[in-house]
Amino acid sequence: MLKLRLDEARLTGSGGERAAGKRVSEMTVKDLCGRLGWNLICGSGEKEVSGCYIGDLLSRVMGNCGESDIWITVQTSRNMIAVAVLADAAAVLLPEGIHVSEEVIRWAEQEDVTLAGCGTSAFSAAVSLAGELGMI
Amino acid sequence: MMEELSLNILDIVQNSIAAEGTKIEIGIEEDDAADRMVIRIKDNGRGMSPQLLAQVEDPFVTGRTTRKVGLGISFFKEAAETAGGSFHIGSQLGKGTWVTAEFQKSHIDRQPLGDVAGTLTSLILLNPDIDFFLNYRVNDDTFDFSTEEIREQLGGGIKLSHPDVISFISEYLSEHLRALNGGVGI
Repeated sequence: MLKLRLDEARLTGSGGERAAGKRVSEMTVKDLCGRLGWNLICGSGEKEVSGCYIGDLLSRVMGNCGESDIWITVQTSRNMIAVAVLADAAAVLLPEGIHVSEEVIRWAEQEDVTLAGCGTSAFSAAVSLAGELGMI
Repeated sequence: MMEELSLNILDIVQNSIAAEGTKIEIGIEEDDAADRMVIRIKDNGRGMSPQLLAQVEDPFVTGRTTRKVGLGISFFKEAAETAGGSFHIGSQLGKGTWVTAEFQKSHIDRQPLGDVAGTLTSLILLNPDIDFFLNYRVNDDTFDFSTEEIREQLGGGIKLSHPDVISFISEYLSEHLRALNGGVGI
């Protein structure tokens, strides 16, 4: 129900409209990894994605990252995993080929956080994500 | 991390208040020769058991199991360690808790201190019966502030949260902290 309303809002909103009848956000993290060449580091990637939040200041992320957003950050601390859980992000995407330690991957697995990585900047990742979600 | 260290201070002091502290001491020390900034917070609250203390820096323990503590400690520790510094928390049941965060002052990732005067003023406004102490040292200059002293001057009957008292405290703190920092924001 909520999902449907979200799509409608997007369909009728200014800019980024798509032809009515076309489903907008039906993409999972796994789908996006396949389509955009992101590396699925850990997690099932089954969560559906509806948007994106970019930020590294964890206190701001807590208040602004929406659930089912892809959160793009350069943070690789245990606090990052905690904030991903609190925000209920669809996945955390680490841009610029940032290295994640085995320890962080283990924490993410324990807390059921999906981690992905890409070689591009946060900006390009967000732009291609917006394209896949039919927002641009 | 948070955008200003004064928000970290606010968070830690809220833990102290939640732990029924009635006397809360905040110390800030800036030493340019040593390129160091130290923030200390100490309370006389109920303190923590060694078991809780050992877990308290873990965001999962603090953020999810024991809601009363929050992510404040994890964020403060991260802020210090990201800025070439260190973090320590000590506590004793029935005695209180003390937190020390040390930063390399010039480190590019050190967050700005932010509005200490505003932070302390709001803490006093919301908790007029708690005794707050501030010791702020910048190199050789020191500023000391205590709500106890203000309370003595006011005599009984007038609360620290009285609007006139609060606006006095706010101006007094802003003025002295500005003077301490040579009028430059940090």
